[in-house]
Amino acid sequence: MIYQASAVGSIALDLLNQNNHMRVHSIFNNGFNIVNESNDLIFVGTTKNGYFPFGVTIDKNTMHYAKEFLSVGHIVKVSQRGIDHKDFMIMLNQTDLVKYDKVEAGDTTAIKKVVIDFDFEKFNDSDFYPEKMSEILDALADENSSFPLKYLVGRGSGLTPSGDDMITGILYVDALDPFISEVHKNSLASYLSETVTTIVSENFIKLALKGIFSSKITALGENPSKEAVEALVALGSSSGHDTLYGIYMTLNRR
Amino acid sequence: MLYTIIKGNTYQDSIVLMLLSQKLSAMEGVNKASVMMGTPANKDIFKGSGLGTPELEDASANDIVIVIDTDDESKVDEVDQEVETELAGGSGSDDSQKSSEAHNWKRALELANNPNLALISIPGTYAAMEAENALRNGLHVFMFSDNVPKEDEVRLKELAHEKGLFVMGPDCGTGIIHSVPLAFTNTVAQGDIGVVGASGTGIQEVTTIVDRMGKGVTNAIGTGGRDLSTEVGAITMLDSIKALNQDPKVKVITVISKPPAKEVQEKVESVLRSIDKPVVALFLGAKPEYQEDAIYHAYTLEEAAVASVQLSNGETVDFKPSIIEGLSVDFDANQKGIKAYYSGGTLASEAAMMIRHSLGEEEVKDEGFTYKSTSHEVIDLGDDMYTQGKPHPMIDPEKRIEKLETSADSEDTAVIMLDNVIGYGSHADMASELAPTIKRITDKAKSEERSLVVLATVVGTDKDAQGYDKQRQILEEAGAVLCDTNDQMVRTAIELVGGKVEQPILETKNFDKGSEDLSVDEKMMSLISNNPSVINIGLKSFTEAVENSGAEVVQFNWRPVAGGDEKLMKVLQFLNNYEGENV
Repeated sequence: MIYQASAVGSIALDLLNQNNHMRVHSIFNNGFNIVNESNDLIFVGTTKNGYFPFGVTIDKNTMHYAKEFLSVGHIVKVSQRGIDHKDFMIMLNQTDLVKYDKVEAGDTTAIKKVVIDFDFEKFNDSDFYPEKMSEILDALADENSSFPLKYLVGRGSGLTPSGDDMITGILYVDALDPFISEVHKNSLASYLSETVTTIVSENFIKLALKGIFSSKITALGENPSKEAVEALVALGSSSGHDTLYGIYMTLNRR
Repeated sequence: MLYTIIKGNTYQDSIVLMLLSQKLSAMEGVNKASVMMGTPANKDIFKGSGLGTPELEDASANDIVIVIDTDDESKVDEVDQEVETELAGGSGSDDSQKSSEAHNWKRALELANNPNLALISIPGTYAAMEAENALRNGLHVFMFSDNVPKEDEVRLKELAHEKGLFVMGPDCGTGIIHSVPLAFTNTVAQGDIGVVGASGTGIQEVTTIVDRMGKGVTNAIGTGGRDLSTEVGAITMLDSIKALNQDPKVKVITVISKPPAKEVQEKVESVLRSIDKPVVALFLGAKPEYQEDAIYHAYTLEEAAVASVQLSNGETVDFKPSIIEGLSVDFDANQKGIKAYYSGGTLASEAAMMIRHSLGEEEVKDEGFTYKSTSHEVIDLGDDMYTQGKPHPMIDPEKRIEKLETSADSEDTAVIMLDNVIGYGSHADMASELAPTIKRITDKAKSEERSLVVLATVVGTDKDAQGYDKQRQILEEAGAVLCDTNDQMVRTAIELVGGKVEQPILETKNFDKGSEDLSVDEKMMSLISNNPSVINIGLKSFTEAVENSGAEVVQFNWRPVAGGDEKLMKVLQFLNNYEGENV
C-alpha cells in the first residue's frame, strides 16, 4: 500500500533525514511511534492529536489499514521521501511542512485574559490541586529550592501523563516570559534522561525546554482567543486541558 | 492481597486507562484496581493509595502497570484477560510473520496451492497492473479496488474472457464463490439460487433475505458497477450467467443491476432468454414494464429474493409487499420529511427509487444526495464524497451519528431510515455504536412530545459474526423500529408520511427463445464448483473470511516496485509482459 501523509512537523522531517532506519516503538488507536537508537521519536498519527513538531499526520483511513501490518519492533526505512514499512509506505511528497520556530519572549496579558474564563475546577480534588501547583511554581523561580518538578514528571495516566502536560504549559509561559531558574531547567533535562516518564512525554518536554511547542499551544500566543483555547482543550483525551491548566496556574502565580 | 500485572512497552490513551481502572474496580471480587503508566511519580501514587507492591519496582515508565486488590487469586487471570482485550484495540499483538505471506508474485505462487483466484484491494492506480499479472498467471480476479480507469477495465475483461477467466470488479465490494465470502459479504447458507450482480449491497440484501427464508446461495458473482456499461458490454455478467446455467446445482438464476444501456440490456436478456432455468431479473431504478415466461422482472431487492426462493421451491411467484403496521404517530403539520442515511449504496438507490415513484415531489439534483427534494433526502454515506480519508460507514459510525443528530433536530423530519450491513468487512458491533445516538434523539423527541420515527434494517444472517438478532435487538432497545428488509422499511416510511408504493401490475409479453452460444470455459466452471485457492493482494483482513470458510489463502503483502514511481512501474510492467515479435 502507498499512503500519503498530509502534514509533517519540522522536527520529524529532520529526524527522517538524519536516520536511515527507525523502530516501531508503540501502536495506539490513533497512531504509532517510531524511534531511532537514541530514542528520538516521531509520532505518526491522525489529526485528532493535532500537529506535533515531531509528528507526521496521516488520515484515519491510513491508520485503520496501516494497523493491520504494524507490530512493535518492526524496522522501517526512513528518508525525506517518507516512511517505508515492509508492507506499506507513507509518502511525504505532497505533504505540508509545518515549521516550528522557537517561541520568543512576548507579552502574556492577552493570553491571561482568555484563559481566565476557563473552568479548572476538576483539578481542585486532584493530585494537582492549586496550592500544590503554586508551591511548585514558587520553587521554580528560586534557584536554591530542591528540584520542584520531580512531583509532576510522569504523574498521571496515558500517553502523556497529566503532570507532564502541565510542565509543557509551564515551560510555554516561561518561553514567553522567563521566570524559571536555569538550575531547575538543567535538572529537568538530566532527570528526563533517567526514563522517568513515557517516551512521548519525554520528547515533548525536551523540545519545550528548547522553546519549541506544538501548534495548538503556540496558536494561543499568536491569536489569543476563545477558539484557540477550545482547540487546545480538545487535544487528546485530557492533554490539552492539562496543558492549559499549567499555563493558567503559571500566569496567575503569586 | 495485592497482585501486580506489568504490560511491557504498552500504551493507551489516558481515557482508555481511566475507563479500564473503573471497569476493573467494578468487577465482582475485586476490591480495588488501578491502571497507570509505571513512571516513578505514578509508583508513588500506587503506594499512596495502598496499592504499593514490590513488583512495581520492575516496571518502567513505558510499561502499563495494573495493581489489583482481591481476595480471590483467580480474579487475576480474569483481570488480565480483560486488560488484554481492552489493550488489543491499540497495540496489536505480534503474530506478524506467518509462513503463508509473500512479498512478490513468484513467492505467492510458490506458497499457494494451485491458486485460481486473486483478491485485489491495493490502490486503484496499481490494481490494474496486478490484475493483469494475475490473469497472465491464469488466475481469476476479484478486484475490490476502485478508481481503476474504465479503459483498463475493458482491456482486462477482454483479456480475461479470451483466457476463460473472470474479472469481478473493479469496485466489487461483495462476492460469494462456492460459499467462500469475499470482501464485504455475509455468511449465507448454500443453496440452488445462483446470483450475479453489479452491485455490492444489492447482492448482500438479496442473498441474506434468501438465507433468512431458509434457502441458500452458493455463488454470488459480483461484476463491478460498470460491467453493464456500453464500453464494457457486460462481459463478466454474460460469462457469469452462462457459468451458473451450466452448473447443475443451480436451479434459479438471479440477476441484479442498475438499468443498463439499452443495447447492453438487450444483450443480457437475449442470453437470459436462451437458457432453460427460471430467471429473476432486477434492473433496479426502473419500473418493469412487462413480465415474460422465461424471466421474472422484479421491482425491488426483496421482490427479487422472494421470487427466487419461490421459483427454487417450484412455486409460482407471488410477492406480497409488507409494511410495519400499528405505528402510532402524530406529526406536526411541517413534519413531512423522510431522511435516509445509508452505508449500502444500492439500498440508498432503492429507497430513492421508491420515494421518487410514490411521493411525487420535484427532485432537486444535488451532488452528494442519492435523492433530494424539498422534504426528503437519501444519502449514501459510502459515496466517495463522504469517505475521503475516512473508513467506509460500514466500519466507521462517525458520519452517521452526525447525520442522525442534525436530522433529528430539523423540524421537518418525520422519519429517519438507516441500514446496518453486517458480515465480513463490517464493524464488529455497529448497532452499539449507533444505539446511544438513536436513544438520545428518540428520547429527546419524546420529551418534547414530538413524533419522530427511526426505522432501521439489518442486512445479515444469523451466521454472521455480529449476530443478526443481536444487532436488531440492540437497535430496537435504543428506540428504533426494526424492518425485515429495505423494501419494507422504505414502504413503511412512505406510508407514515402519507404516501403509498404501488407495486407494478404487469402484462405478460411473449418473446422467442434465444439462441445464444451458452458454452463456458472449464476454468470458470471449476471456480464456481470448488473452494477457490486465493492469493490475497492487499488488505489482510480479507483473508479471515476465506480462511474461516475452509478455503486456502496466501497473503501477498504487495508493495510497489520502483519505489512507487508510477511511470517506471508501467515501463517495468511492459517489459515483463513483452513477448516480442516472432520472426
